[in-house]
Order: sequence, then C-alpha cells, then structure tokens
Amino acid sequence: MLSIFKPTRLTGLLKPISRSLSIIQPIWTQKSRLYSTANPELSEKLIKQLPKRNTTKHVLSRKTFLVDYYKYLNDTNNIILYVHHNNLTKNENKKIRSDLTKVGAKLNVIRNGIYKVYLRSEHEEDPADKETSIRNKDLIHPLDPLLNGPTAIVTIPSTDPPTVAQVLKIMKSVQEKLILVGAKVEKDTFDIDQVDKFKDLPTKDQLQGQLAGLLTVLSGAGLVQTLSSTQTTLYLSLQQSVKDRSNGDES
Amino acid sequence: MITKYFNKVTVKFNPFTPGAKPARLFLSRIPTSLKAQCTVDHQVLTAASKEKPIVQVTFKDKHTMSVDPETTSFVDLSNHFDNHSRKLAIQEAISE
Repeated sequence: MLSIFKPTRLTGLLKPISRSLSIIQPIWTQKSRLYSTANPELSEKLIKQLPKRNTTKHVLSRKTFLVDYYKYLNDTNNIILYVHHNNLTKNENKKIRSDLTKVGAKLNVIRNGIYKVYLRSEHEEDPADKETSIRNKDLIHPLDPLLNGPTAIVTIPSTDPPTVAQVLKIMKSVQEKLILVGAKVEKDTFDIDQVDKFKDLPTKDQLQGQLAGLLTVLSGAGLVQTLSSTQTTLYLSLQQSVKDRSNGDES
Repeated sequence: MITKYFNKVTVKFNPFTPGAKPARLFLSRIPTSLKAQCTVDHQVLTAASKEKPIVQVTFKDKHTMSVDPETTSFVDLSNHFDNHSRKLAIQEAISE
C-alpha cells in the first residue's frame, strides 16, 4: 500500500475555514477557484507539501479525496459487501453503524459515479490520475452493474466468514432497509448465493489448519514442515534449491 | 411517483443485470411513512434462480399491476403505476 494516497483528515479540517471565507470574500475577488474542501491560500501551501500528482480533478477536491478513500478502503479490507440502502432513518442509521462496528465491520454510503471511476482503474497505482482514467475509460468492471441506485459498502478487514454471517444477521434486523446485492471477497466477485455459502465456512485459520492436517495424514509431512516453518527458512531453502539447480546447469 | 394508494409491493431483481436499476430506484422511492399501510416484499435473484425479475404493485382497491424492470426504464415504470393511482385520486376527490 502506498502511504501517500492514504486520505488524510486534513481536507475535512479545511471545510469550515473555507465556508467562513466564502461569506466574507466574494468568489470573483479570489485568486483562483474556491473548492468546496479548501481555500486558495491554504491549498497553495498544502499542495506544495503533498506528493506531485496529475489528477483529473483538483488534488484537494472532494472527488479526488473520495477516489483515494475508496482505494484505501479496498486495499485495507479483504471483504466488501455491496448493499442497497432504502431511506434509513437517523436512528436506524445510527443503530446499524454501531452494531456493525461491534463486529468489526464498517458501513460507507458511496457515490456510484466516483466509485466506478475507482473500479475502472482499480489495478492502477493511482486511480485518480488523469492519464489512467483516460486509458481505462471504456473498461467495465464485473462489479459495475451493482452500482445503480442507492448503494453502500460494508467493509470487513479480514477474510473471516463468521463476521460476514454476523453482518448479514444485523442487516436482516432492518428488513428491506438494507439489501445485500453482491460482494467482493479478496479478488473474486460473489453474488448472493455464493455469499450465503461463503458465510457458513469456518475461518481462514481453521481451513488452513485442516489443510495442514490433511497433508500430514497423506504422508506429506516433509512438505508441511517446510511450509509451517517460518517464512525466512522457507525463503532460504527455496533459494538453496535454486542455487543447487543453477550449479547443476553450469557443471 | 404516487405511492399513496399502494397496499403491497413485490420487487424481484437480479443486481447484476441492467434491470436492477429501475427496480432499485423503485424500492428507494417508497417512503418510510408508508410502512404502516404498505408491505414491501423483496427478493434478490441470482443467475441460478428460476424466477423472473418483476415489480408488482397491489393498490388499495385490490387492483394489481406488474412491470418487467428488464425492459422498462424507471420513468416509464412510475408512469405506468401513476396511471392507476390518478384514477384512484379522482375517485377519492369525487367521493369527498
């Protein structure tokens, strides 16, 4: 993960300042365009501190921030559930969000258009970049059709099926207010049936344990030992075998 | 869209097809205040499911109308239901 694109709270902090400025100072007297999230003097200072980027929208604009934020969410979370949300009242909203945080998930209402911009350039280093967005203009991501109508995402950091089951239970408590429409698990796109099957699986650690057990039973003890030893020793042993092989080629 | 005369709403859609858009917009247009008089039934379909996507409305006078969201846009869909809602509105105005 590139730390430079981690969205900062900085742009959020600038909001009230720019608002108060716009009241005192009419727009035409300002040096450059006033963005919703920054004021010209502060933004000039800030841009100098930030890494140089050629983004489609202004570097400090909310749109750029959101693309960066969606990238951050997708990079730091293994499971992303796409949810249709229906006129949530303030209390429901509050309750669902607090319930989800209890199980380690987070709800984010997304802007479809901007999320699509991110999805198109998902594989790129900087999805907000001007050139990458032009290059990927015609790309259609498999998750693209899910972004129609009011959409939110529920992010879960680790690949942990029991957490998904808990999240689905919470969503069921509000009935038609939150409807699961699809999911992204690691790199795969899932529909509802697949999510249903997935949530009944044991955790990833348990599965790995089962696999290790199975391998041991099937007389692959040596393999298990190599794999379960620390990563450095595995690396060393692999390197050794590569060396052996190249030596063999020479002689 | 006039939702005042809705009694029951059934929405079935497959989120991965284009028909999901009108269906989902329709769902989001049903206000929370309508919850007392109108039941909302929804079902999310997958590629494997045999049922067809549908938006179905039962009005207060037991009249049922249904639309296939795969072939209609949201505007056409709401116009379709508004037709009957307007009739009910006129009836209500006369009886008052």
